Amino acid sequence: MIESMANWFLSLTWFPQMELASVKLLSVLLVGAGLFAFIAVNAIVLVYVERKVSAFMQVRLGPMRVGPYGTLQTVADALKLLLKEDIIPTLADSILFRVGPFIILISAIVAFAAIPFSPTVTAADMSIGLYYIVSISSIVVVGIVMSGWASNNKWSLYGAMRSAAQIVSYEIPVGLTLLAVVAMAGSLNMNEIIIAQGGSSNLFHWIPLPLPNWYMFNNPFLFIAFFMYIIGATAEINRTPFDLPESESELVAGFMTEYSGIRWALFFLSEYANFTLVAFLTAVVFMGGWQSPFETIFAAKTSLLVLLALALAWTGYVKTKANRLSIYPLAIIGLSTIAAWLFPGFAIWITEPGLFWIAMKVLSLIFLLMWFRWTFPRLRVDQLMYVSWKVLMPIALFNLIGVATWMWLTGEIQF
Amino acid sequence: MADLIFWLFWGLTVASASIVAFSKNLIYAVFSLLGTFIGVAAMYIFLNADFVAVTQIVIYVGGILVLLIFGIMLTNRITQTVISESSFQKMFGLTVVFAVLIMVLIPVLGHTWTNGEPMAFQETIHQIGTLLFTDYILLFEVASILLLGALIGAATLARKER
Amino acid sequence: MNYFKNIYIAISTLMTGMKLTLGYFVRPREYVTLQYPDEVWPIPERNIGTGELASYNVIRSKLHVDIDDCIGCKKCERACPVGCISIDVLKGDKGEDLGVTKNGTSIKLVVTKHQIDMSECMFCDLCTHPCPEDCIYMEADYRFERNDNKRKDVTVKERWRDRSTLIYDFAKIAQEDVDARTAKIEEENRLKAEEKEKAMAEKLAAAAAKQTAKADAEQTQNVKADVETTLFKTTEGGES
Repeated sequence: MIESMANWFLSLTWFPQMELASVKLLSVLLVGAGLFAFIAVNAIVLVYVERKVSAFMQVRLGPMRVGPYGTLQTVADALKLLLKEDIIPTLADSILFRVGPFIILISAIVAFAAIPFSPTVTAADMSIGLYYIVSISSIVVVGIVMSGWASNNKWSLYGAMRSAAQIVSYEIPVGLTLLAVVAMAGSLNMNEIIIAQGGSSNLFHWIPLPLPNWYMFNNPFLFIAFFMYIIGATAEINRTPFDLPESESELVAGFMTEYSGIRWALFFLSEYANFTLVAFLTAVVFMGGWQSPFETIFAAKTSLLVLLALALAWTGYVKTKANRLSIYPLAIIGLSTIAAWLFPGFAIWITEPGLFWIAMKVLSLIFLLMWFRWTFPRLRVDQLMYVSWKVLMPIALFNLIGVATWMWLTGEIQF
Repeated sequence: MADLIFWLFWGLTVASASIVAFSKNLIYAVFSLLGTFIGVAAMYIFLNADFVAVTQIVIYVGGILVLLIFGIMLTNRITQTVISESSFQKMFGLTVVFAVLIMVLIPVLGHTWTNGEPMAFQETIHQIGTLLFTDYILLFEVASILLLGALIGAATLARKER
Repeated sequence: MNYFKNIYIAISTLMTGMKLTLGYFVRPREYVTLQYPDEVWPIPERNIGTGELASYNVIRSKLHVDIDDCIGCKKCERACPVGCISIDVLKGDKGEDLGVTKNGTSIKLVVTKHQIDMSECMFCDLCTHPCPEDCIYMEADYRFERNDNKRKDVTVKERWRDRSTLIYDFAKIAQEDVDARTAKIEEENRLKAEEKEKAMAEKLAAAAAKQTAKADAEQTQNVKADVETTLFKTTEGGES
């Protein structure tokens, strides 16, 4: 992407004549700024979405006063955080206290460089993309421990230690589940992993249920691996039910207890950046990334019809069961179906890979993780370690061997 | 322009390494190791060794650095720890240092360096994988057995006697 | 086997929880939350006591006075421990019909001011019991708020300190009427006072005449007493 961007810049007539290397550096800076802007806007939107989702799950309304339906609430909150006083405790280690949030934020942003947003939009299409993301996300631990220790506060230190132990433990099952996918794809390049999931096939190749050829439907072992990856990733980004490092009821806010204003906002930003990163990674590795779930136009039309039937059934079920009309799913799917049958362009568009599909997948995964957060209670520390070492680890190893056996049985690898 | 980035990373590596060496505060020393490791990883990338660079970050930052931090933080009174700065046997130390410096400098200066074309970047991971599982399989297995032994040993030591 | 059973139980219970929250998520918006200034909870009936206390109003949110029934006896003002009620009354004209309360008592006084400062009221309900006409009572209406955020003539702090809207004046009588009545009463009072003065002056004159005669008789006695006291004082003073 950097190359093509630099070439595009050089092809512009008004652009000053520069060396290719300088233009490349400029493109790199622009892409970095673009990623940062994406992460900032994304965090603002996701905080609003999270507050609304949590409110609906708890039969509340959520933010309603600032802007229509409270849509400007997080913008107002962000402005407030920017204007707040930046407090550094007297006994805190002021250098590390200042540096800590930036290390966390930088590691969160830098990991986005390898994420393929669409076939053409990938900041750095590197051959070791997946490995790179896994490695960069391990830097977060250093930032967390740094800020936790620098706060000079026992809760912060406890939070930092818990977080470090948690991230280090959960990196292993997460790495092993990703390894199973890498073994299937035979590549660490994100775009190659996505391309390997193109087309459609039966569920697990033999159950006659036509589904997109995503790795999560490829074989039973990877189906389990998908859920295990979600559990492990939730733990790695310190979200509920694995939010021990920042558990409000025990440690106030863990490693960010002493932070306020803009530095606290950086923590929040990196938290949501990591959240989105995990959703992107899951979408790429298990759900076919920017690939459309529909292989052909006919498949798209048929699938939409099936979905329409399902929506009708849902509406009827709700009507008989609760005596009310649930109109939105029916309306959305009905309109898409009509559009797909009437306008060939729409049908072609939904079968093409691109930003739309990865956005849909990422949004649904984000909703899944929010759903987790507002449903499950927090784990105890010993339970956390139990889940990692005694449940996820053995199953991940078993899965790895199972995937290898599956590949041997289906003839994907030969000895 | 690539030179500028190279020198930036060179500066990062050397500066953080000197903090590690000279800082009286143990915590600063450990945390500035992060800069050193990242700088060294960047050096690997300039050598077209992307896999090694990323492995450097995973192993050293994700593993060893966190282990060091744990070790230091579980020690009592981290802040009061005084690193003994009284240097003794200065002459002997200086002699050794200069001897090593000369030993390094002789081949560096004696070699005739050529300014070739920079190599085009090519991925290394397939080659590494193939070599690990064909030519170097014995070493690979020996290393894994060594690590397994270390793991079991650590578990045995940490286990509570009943 | 216990291991697998644990995993199964964990997954099934998690699924139960997720089903519940999803159910709430997709359900129509039967919220408990109300958007307060726009929507309010219905205020309950005044008397919600049960049994013997069926007529007892347990909700004490705001004092209310049925000013048409008030006879201006000021019993509530005297009962109030914090003095948040202030009442002014004027006598009615002679032969003027001021109406009848709901208990049948005819009103004798015109209540020109019946002010309750709700910012001082402590909701003790003590004022409601002495009222002979049951015309002062606690209401369930809890809303004292006002929307004057757009007011520009005062600063924010002044607006917050301003509690004038918490002072409720229940008297319905018009200011001109009050002025007219006050003027009339003052006139009457002035006339009365003049009469009184006149009477008093006559009385004083009579008394003064009496006084002079008495004073002559007493004078000699007084001189004697004065001399005695001075002597007594000097001896005492010498000793000390």
